[in-house]
Amino acid sequence: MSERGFFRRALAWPPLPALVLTVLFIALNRLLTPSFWNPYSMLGFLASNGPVICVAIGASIVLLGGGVDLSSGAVLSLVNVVFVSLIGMKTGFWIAAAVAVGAALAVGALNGFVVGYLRVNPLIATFATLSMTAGLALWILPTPSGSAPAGFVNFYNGFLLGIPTPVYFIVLCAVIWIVVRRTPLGLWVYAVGKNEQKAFASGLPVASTKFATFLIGGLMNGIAGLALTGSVSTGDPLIGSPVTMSAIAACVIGGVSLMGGEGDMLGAIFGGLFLGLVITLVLAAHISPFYQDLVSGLIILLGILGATWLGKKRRQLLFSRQRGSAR
Amino acid sequence: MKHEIAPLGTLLRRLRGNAYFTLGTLIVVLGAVGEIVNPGFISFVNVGSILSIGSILTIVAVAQAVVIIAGGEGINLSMGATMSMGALLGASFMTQSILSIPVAIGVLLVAALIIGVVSGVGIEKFGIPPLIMTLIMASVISGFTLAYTRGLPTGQIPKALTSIGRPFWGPVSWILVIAVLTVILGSYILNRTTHGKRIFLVGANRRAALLSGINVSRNVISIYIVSSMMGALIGLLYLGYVGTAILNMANDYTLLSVAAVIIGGTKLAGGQGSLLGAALGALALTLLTNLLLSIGMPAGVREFIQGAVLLAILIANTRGPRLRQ
Repeated sequence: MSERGFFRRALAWPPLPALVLTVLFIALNRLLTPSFWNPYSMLGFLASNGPVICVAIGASIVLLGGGVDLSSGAVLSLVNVVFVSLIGMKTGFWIAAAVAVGAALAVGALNGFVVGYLRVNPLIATFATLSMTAGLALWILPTPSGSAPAGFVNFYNGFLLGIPTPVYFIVLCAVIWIVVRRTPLGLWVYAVGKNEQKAFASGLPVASTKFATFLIGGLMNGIAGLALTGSVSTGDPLIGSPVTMSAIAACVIGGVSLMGGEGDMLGAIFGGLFLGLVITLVLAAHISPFYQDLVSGLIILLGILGATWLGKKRRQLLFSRQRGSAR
Repeated sequence: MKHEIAPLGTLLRRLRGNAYFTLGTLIVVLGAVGEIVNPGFISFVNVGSILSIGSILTIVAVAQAVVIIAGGEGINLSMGATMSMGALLGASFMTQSILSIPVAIGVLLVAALIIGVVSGVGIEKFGIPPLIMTLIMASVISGFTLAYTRGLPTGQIPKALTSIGRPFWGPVSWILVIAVLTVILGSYILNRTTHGKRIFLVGANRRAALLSGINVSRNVISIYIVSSMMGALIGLLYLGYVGTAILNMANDYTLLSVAAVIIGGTKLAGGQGSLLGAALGALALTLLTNLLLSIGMPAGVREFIQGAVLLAILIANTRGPRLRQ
């Protein structure tokens, strides 16, 4: 009986397909590159994929609240150029980092204000702020230049207490997520994402909840921006732009519903890992560079098709079982 | 019964929510500001070039609008990638002869058919949200374009295609003619034919459409096919306008087209909207870009102002209803 309960609970868990995909692709990578388990190649993998995973965790909160944030990639670029420019002006590390994360929070607050309180559609509103943020980054640093402090770059691309440092960035985002989830706000986010009208009728502060999701998303974009700067070690006004789409795709593969109210942070992490593993696998397979984008695109497409199909099956199975037990 | 003329206040209040009025005002204001800061801004030559480049965005916006109107969270984020594919794949199938254009068109239509079917089936049969499905398709399409052309398309572009953006009569160019015809024909199909009405019904209320015997899935899939085909062919036009094929040359058009459609008064929720609005939105966006370019602003400032103006239009025009109601 308890075994069946466990199976049902596992099936009801939205990130399950992403977990299966992640395990499968770790195995494939291991098969193709035996040195994949080596701590240094692990570090390299995590260092380059850490930023996307951090953004995905933030994006999952925004998506759970029924929003979507297209500006996150541009925010990463903004954090990168603000941080590198301040370092270039001999500002202290902590002040530069705080101002850079503050910029990310400011964009998050703007998004939250426009979407939450002014009730503009999040997709198009964050597209407008994406344009503003990208413009600001390009204004501050028109061409790639400058560099992050060597100490920080070495710290990010190294080990702390025997664990690759990028893991701490991901864990920091995850801990923030878990703390938020434990507060009433966590419940409100799910409620607002699932059904805004009912949440409002139940007396929840719908607008403030949406505002909060974008603010928290902004904070994680800030953390991700610092991680990205550690990974690339230079200032580049366009560096973050591909991240937005990867982060949203990671969430969807991880079972976070675009309609809001369904999924959790682990799904975003597994989805992000899966995307990174696909790229690593395609690179390791020595496919001609001209075909790499097509092959990785097709694998991700198949991954999403598979994940949605599994999710559909899961729901059908659960539904029939529930009806069976009710009888 | 006496018909009272609405007082001015009521009239203004009614006009405030009207996208045509807002956009018309914006276009006039932008034109006036342009002429003040940069005399010659509304000269024949400059207006001609604004209309030419604006025509491209207009047709893309039409292709985007039908997808959004058909509802179900519909949106085509692979539009830019499809256009780029149209330009690069088209270029590699063309020679200097004008007869090579139909060949390129044929190849593009087949490629676009496959793209549309895959997107539509993924969305309708697998239940993948359109946002994600078309996003992933964008990377597959870009990957295919890169793989096929190796980044450098061979072949030449016929003269007939490269002259498409040049005015031949006053500020009128062929591409403007095509854009105007697209908007007129598209509006006719959407508003006057059964097929168009069906699209609006599917967008407004999927369940009602299903209950009244409409094959919703088939309709939606066919809309993605039409949208992809239009995207690929616009890519060919864009190639003619630009003159050379560059990898990912049209990627900006994805979100620009969505912006043009939304500020043109089409609701992202579907079932409501107009192609004329989309065309006006496209014109306003193009005018703004052109104005900022003509003042010689750095790229970053330009992008920032574009975003800020778009945000202001959105806040003025597209705020959702209060939850209380």
